[in-house]
Amino acid sequence: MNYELTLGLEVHTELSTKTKIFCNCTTEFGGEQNTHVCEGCLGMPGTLPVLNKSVVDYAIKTGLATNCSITQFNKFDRKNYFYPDLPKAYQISQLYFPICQNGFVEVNTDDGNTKRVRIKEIHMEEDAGKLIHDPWEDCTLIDYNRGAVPLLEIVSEPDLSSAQEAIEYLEKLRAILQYVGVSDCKMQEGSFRADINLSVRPVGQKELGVRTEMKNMNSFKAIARAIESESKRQIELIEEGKTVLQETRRWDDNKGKSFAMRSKENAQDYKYFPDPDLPPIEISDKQIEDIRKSLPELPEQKKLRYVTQLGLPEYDTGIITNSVHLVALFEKTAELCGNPKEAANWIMVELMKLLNDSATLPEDMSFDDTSLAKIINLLAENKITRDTAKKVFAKVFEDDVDPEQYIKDNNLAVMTDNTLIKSTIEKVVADNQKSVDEYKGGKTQALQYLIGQSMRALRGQAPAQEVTKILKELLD
Amino acid sequence: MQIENDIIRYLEAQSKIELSDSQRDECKNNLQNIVSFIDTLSELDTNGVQPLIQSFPIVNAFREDEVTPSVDRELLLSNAPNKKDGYFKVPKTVD
Ligand SMILES: [Zn+2]
Repeated sequence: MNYELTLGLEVHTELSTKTKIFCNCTTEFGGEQNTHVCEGCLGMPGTLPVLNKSVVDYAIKTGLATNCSITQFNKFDRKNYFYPDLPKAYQISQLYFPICQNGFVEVNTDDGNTKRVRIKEIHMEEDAGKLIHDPWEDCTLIDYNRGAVPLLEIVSEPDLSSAQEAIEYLEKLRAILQYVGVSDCKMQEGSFRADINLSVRPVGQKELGVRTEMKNMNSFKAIARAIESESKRQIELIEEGKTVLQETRRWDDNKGKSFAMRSKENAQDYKYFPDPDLPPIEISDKQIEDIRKSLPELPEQKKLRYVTQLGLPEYDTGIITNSVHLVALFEKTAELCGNPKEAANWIMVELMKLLNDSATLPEDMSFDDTSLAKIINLLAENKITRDTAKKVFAKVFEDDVDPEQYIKDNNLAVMTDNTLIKSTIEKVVADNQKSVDEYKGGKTQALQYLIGQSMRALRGQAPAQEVTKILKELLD
Repeated sequence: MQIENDIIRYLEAQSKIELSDSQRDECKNNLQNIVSFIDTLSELDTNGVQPLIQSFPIVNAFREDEVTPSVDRELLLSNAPNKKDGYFKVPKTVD
């Protein structure tokens, strides 16, 4: 029997405001344990929360960039649960009036079409502290630095139907958040993480299957693996005539398996109620319009412009526009070298290869953003060969060297001294009498060999055309 | 609504506390009183009445996004029953 997957994602993204959501502690990542903490974010009795204005602005930005309508009357609610990562024993969140509703994000599907993934809602809430297991004393240690850092929870409708689509959606969403500047979305620092709601059903069946929720996803690869593994597990249960239980499961990426969380953790009865400590938020039409006007060009708009105005291939623009870091490098390079196609080509071929080979993410690139344009210009002016250009770019990528200085220091510029080129080739001809005879006897391949030998003698620094021309003159 | 022992036990589990039999009885009576009071209120016809979700007529109380120094860690930890190396220490909750 064939099965189809129904997937919805809940994305938590930490906002890049300077301060926490309800107090003035810094949101800076890292820092010694419990040093970014005050009596407010520790929930000590007698303290009161006051909302960070920027959190509302950031949430509106995100909502507008994802085609949501903005809820103009907002309220915070308490989500009650006892767990030590939450010092107040409740999380301040939004249940009844989420700030953004009914949006969508467009993603590319496996068959090359686009698909709208609906966004049910986006709400504001506070992050929890970090629990660390202490193996020496077999106890749990708590660091509240991350506690009360502002979060947006972005809840999609179950519109996704494969791991591939889920990743496409997450990449697009991350790009949007980075473009509008509300989050750095660093998965390895936990500022962009996703929970997966997944069910399977036989193709043709109307009702959805029983869904499970998987938490603890912190890389795209882990998410893809978790989706594959969980759908397989559910299908196997159904095939064996067993039932899928509605439960929360924890994904263990090392073991490549998910585990049901203990039933106590599964008992979800949050007893939501409006938080009496926080007055409602009213958002005016003007505020929404002002923010709408301030939005930067978004990935889809950029993509369209790159294709129609710059004539770039659609595939390339999709890759580049999905990363705010690649966009920044592309735009700077195109501006400085005046050749967008060449800039895109270098990014798609050479940069992608360097990123892949070194397992580096675009956000971790650390070279000067003018270097690639310098290399492209030197190449266009025939001051270096294409081979040299690639080598210099690899060095730039690795050590952030200045291309011009590096070329000079290592004597990599194209030889402009024609007498030197000619004398080098003359020596090659003299040393390879056999090949010369073969060429003269009609064997054209011998010329290729002589070109190769000459290029080697010239250390690849003479233009190939020039070398061929001189060789022919000498031989004919 | 009738408050039964099951409900009290459920709430104990949710609140991670355990009551003695006499405490449970006392709690049951108190809760029954509160719930009965609410039941009385429920008799009122509230069709067309907006739910009250705030008790003060204020909106938009905001704070500027400016960092001020956090509180000294030793001071914050001074009331903690258990601590270690600048962390709060609790019984094992993660694997
Ligand atoms: Zn604080």
